[in-house]
Amino acid sequence: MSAQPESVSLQPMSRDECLKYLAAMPVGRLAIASPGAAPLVVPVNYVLDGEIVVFRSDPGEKVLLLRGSPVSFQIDQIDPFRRTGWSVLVQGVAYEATPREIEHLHIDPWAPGEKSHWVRIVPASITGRRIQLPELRRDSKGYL
Amino acid sequence: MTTTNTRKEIEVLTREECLRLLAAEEVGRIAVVLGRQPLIMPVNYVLDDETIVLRSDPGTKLATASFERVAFEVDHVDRERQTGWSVLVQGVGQEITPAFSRLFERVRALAIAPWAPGDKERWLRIVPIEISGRRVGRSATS
Repeated sequence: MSAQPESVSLQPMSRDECLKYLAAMPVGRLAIASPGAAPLVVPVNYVLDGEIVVFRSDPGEKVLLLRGSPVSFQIDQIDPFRRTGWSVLVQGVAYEATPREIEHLHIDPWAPGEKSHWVRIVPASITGRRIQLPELRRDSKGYL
Repeated sequence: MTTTNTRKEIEVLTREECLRLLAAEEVGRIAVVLGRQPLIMPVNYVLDDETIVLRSDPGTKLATASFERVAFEVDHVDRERQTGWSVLVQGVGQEITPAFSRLFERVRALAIAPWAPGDKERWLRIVPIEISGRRVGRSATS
């Protein structure tokens, strides 16, 4: 157990902790680079399958751009009252899933549309960090 | 398999609505591209007229955002009602250095109070090229 920092600090989160949060959230944000243009950032409903983020999409620019492309997927939780929060970033490569890869999964997108394309993000890295407040006293498991 | 009785809808937000939502939030996410890899980082910001202004320390954001195409996103997710909205600003990042004199003084005077530690004595703004937003889920008017 590490000593409490004297002041606000930015602490890295373990991969296990990142995966725990990824398993718990209903919506994350997908970022796709678009050559010569600003990146596209869109919230999507998703599920975590092992360490792989899976979401559904309609055919369109998004699906065309992300096939075989490096993408990012991000989730966070912010607490405006305590001025703190955490953020998890998955960097990986997106590709369209085969039926077999998704037969055991269920995603019910909040947005309308067929969303017939299932996309998997194979992670190259999963990182997270949190703003650690000095007045918090946590036990060894990280609970308050 | 669960089915919901709510009718799923999508609503395209007007530019005015997007700006109103941007003005009301204090944390958003900047997306930059490092090589071919997009990155997303949460940041505190303020909306100054129609530009996004944030403070930074030297690092990835400044190195990859200045004079490059970047995106900035804010959203709100209501898990219980399965609704949410998001606003996306796509534009150009620009570091505001002391050489900008009056603009530098203007952004320094903005009340941007980053939650994360660090001096954050560098100011970055995002000049929008396109502002878009949508609300999804049940027909909702929050």
